[in-house]
Amino acid sequence: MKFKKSFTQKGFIGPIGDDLPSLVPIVTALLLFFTIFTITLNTYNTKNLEITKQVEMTSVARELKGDSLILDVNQFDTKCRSTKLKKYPYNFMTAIYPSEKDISKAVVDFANIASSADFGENILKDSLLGTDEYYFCSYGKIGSKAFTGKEKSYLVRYYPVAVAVRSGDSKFPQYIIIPSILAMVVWE
Amino acid sequence: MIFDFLTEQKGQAALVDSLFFIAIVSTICTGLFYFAINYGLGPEALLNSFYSSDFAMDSLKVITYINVMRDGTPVSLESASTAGPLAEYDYLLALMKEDFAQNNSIGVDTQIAISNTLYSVLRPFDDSIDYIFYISKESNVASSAKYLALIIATHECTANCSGNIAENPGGSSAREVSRVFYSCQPTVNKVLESKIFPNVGKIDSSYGKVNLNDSPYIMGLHTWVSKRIAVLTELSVEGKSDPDLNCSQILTKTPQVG
Repeated sequence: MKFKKSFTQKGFIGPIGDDLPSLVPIVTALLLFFTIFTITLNTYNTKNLEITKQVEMTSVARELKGDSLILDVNQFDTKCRSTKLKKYPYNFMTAIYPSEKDISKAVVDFANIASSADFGENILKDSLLGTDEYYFCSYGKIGSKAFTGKEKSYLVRYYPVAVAVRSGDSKFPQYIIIPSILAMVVWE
Repeated sequence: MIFDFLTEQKGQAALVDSLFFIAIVSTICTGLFYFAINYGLGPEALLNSFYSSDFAMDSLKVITYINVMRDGTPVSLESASTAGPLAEYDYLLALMKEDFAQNNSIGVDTQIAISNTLYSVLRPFDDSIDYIFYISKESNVASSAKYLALIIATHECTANCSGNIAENPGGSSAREVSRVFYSCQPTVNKVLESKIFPNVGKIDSSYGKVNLNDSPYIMGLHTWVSKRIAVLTELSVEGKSDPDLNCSQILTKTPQVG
């Protein structure tokens, strides 16, 4: 009876009810804070990943192209192998295109190589010894997915290089240095 | 009396506290939001700038490495693989040195060979950038009157240029924009610094040293995002071309469709 009476008293809402008007701004503020905090944290992480990806791309490209002169496919392979020894947090694929070839299809070419090992017609190759050896290098971290070209974010960069290609026959090879483009894609 | 009234109003202090709280939180949120928007812009711009200078520097290196035919014709993979054993090749740099040794200048043929090489190495960005390449006396980098060779590469509409694209969208596909190279012999000092560089926006530059007849020279390459400025667009217009630049067209490259 006494309990029922206390609720009917004028002006009395209750221990929580008294503070109800102040709870609304507090809850709003907390919601606002945690929303913005989450957005900031996500942006911070995303941008950090992007920057790390770009730094890695620059470092790998510098290592692969060296002094911008590639003497033959063996030298390129050696550089590729030494690059792969490092544990990168991202995957990359890189290939050299003769300058007259269509460089704009590099991403499609990389996706085709990843899906069906189809190197296409554009990537530079050395076929003097009977088998096609492509100027191509790739690295995949453990458990990573193959490149499809449809990833949420990937980076593509181009670097000019001079490549010594062999012409003539295998008995009397002639080395000619031609302008080429090293294309590179990095993805997660 | 008024204090009595206030003290009788339940929850007033708590409400004001909560309003203060939301004000503080809003300030913090504004700070966080500002941080989120601006974070990483500096490093990203720096990395892009590194890339641009790397690209320009690599382009200069490639110019010094590559082979051309003895007559300056560019060598492609196809021409290299089909050329017979009697084909004569030389380094582009050797061609430049030979030309300079003979005439104390870099002739038009050599400048065309350089332009072809520049076109090859800068192809990935050919649609979007314009550039200037020069060879200059080391002590006179800023003095354009001392350029041994000065090549300006711009974009120009070379076919079906009349008509407004906005008015005739169907006809826009017929417009043909080509890469045009000009060889210039400036008549006044610092003409690039006064007429081109201030108007084209951000420029990525790279320099290299080259010895010609045992004298040191500077090779420079400046690239920027294509921009229509009068001094460049009027290079091909007779009578309007800037006499201080004194340019003549040496090569046109039309992009291949498909």
